[in-house]
Amino acid sequence: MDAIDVLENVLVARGPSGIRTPLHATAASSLAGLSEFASVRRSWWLQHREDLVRVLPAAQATLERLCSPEEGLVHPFANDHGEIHDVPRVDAGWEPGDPFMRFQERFKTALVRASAPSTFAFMVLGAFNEMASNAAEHSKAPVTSVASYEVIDGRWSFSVTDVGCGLLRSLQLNPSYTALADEASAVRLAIQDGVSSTGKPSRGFGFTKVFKVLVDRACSIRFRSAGAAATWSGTSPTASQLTITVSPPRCGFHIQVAGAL
Amino acid sequence: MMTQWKVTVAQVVRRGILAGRAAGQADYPKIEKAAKAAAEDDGRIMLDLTGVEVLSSSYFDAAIWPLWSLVPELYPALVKVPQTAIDDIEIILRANSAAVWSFKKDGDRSPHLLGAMDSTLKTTLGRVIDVGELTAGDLVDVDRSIGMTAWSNRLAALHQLRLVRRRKDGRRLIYVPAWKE
Repeated sequence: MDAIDVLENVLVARGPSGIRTPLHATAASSLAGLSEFASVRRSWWLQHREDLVRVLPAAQATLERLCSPEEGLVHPFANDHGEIHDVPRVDAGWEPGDPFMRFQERFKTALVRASAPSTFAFMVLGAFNEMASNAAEHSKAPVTSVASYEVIDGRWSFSVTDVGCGLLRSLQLNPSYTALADEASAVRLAIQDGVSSTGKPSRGFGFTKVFKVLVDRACSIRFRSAGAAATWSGTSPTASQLTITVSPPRCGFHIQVAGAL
Repeated sequence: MMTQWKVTVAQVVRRGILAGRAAGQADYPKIEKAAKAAAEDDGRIMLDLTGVEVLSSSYFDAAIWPLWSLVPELYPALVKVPQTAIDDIEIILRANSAAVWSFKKDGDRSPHLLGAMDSTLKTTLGRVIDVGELTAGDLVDVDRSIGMTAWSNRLAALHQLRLVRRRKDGRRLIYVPAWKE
């Protein structure tokens, strides 16, 4: 399987069931998909630059056109490992000063303008912060994570995507989980309360914050870690209800959360 | 109860969404500095959570709990904890077998405990509160079924949790409730 297949497998899964949507059109259909696409692009650019050069020009134009200042992708935090500046990345819409905070402010404003109660908007932002922070702390990625939000047509969504080590390698840092053998098991485990790479009893409650936001709400969730994906769609998801599937392998972790307003 | 020994956390960090460990780690030095600057001579400091819209357990663990666990001789208490934050705070307190004093509002003279504490420590704290000021020796006089060393250890544990303050009087350590008036 080459890089193109990987990209299509990832992105077709996001479109209508059974329809092989063109790569750039699928990426353009939602910013969260765009964020995931960006991570694939960045991840594979690092490892298989030659393969990607063949497919990127068309999608690149779509990506850059969609990343307007108001709906931009941002890097949540500087990564411990610094940034690699010669790797192209989607950064249109970043603002000087404190871009991540301004990004959040826009997200909150968009939610409230779309009639979401402010308490709910704050909860969504809290969950988003947890996921962005997880990426910064655990991804061990050579480049910063990307994030997106979208509030449109009575729905909201956010995503955070990194190109780091994925959940399996992260959890294996915890001596209790060194025997974990596959990414699907790691995804299943990682989203449970109190599970973390550190093993400390006070850690591992970030996903809890996400599930709390979605209580009694129509929503969908997608986690993607290296070679596994977890999805759920309905009302009031719980960690045990997610459907976990094996996916084409690639770097990093992606979470997309979407719900009705 | 005096209220000037107070730090409003949301004002210090200039936002109300307090979530994520990375953000907490970045904010902790600011909160510690503000708390030390505003603390009363005896180390008491109130952390006012007015304006906090979201407080996650990871943020509390990284940015606020270290004031109890890492800063010697500081006796923090929480004020106006948002209802939505209580579960997250208690996750961290339970993980540390700890409790903290919490005031519902300004001028509240009866703080309550948030968190989880060993039952023997709870009993010991109750005796400190009832008497107002005591030593391990005083507790032996009240209950001889427990030895002096055990009472001393319990009082020291309460002090480590910053639930009681202590001062030296010769060779004796005198304990008082950190916040109960």
